[in-house]
Amino acid sequence: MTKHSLAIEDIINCKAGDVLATLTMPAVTMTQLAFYCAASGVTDPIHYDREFARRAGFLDVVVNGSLRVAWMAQILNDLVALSGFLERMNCSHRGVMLVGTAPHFEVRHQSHRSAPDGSVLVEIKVSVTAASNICDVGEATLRLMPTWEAAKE
Amino acid sequence: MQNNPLLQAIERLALRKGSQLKALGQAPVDRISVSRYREALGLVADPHLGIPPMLIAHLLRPHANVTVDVRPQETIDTVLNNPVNGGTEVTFLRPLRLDEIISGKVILADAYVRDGKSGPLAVVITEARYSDAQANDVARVRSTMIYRGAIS
Repeated sequence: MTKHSLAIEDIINCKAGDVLATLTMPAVTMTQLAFYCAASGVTDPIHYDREFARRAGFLDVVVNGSLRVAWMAQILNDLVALSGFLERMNCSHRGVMLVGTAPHFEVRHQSHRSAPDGSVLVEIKVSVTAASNICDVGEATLRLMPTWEAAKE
Repeated sequence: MQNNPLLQAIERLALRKGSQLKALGQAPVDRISVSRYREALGLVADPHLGIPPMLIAHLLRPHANVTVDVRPQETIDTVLNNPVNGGTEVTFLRPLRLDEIISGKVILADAYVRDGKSGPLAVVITEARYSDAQANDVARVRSTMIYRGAIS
């Protein structure tokens, strides 16, 4: 999903609050939600049945919380795909995300420190907005390895 | 013992802290599951392009008898109701590998009461632990569910 892979030299001079990456996904479609429900075994109709969702009090079909967690993990994973790995992540839902909205991810640097093995642990904050509403917030730890070979081990 | 059914439910759950709620069985990280999950996330379906980290939380679902996933147990105590998802924390100990076998279990990590704006809230935290064929942990998913009411 993301195009640029973070490296140690990218974050070494970063300060808390610096933006490391942003990404706006295409608007979520009904087809995508149906695919996700089928792949993950979700049966709650608020995630694929528009009439049901409206009767339940939502303006439209609701994007699965677990799909939102999976997107966040995927974006962070992609961010270090060539240089390390996603070590820990938490995600809290702050609002409802509806089909037809385009989630926007912003990843900000919080802190970083060197580990004894030469890797660098980067603490980050993530916020996800859709239709100008905050939907998810998260924190994560990325481990950046000193060399590509070490990252692939 | 208080008369509030929410507090009573949490007292019952607190006694079960650390106990296993469910065995999730085992499943292979097979190419079809990876392809379908990649596609569901909007990625190219080719499983050789990488295994999405959160596949771990879904891999064992079709093999389980009941609904168990990153969502906490919505029926962990039949008295508790009106739940909201309080968040998910995942620890990845290593990436998944194609064709390896993963097994999992869910434990009750914590249960406590927190004050809310309109009364007490029941906070229930479950932890799904996933391990490989050598019994080494590969990931842990901690899920928090907050219940705003209880049936008396």
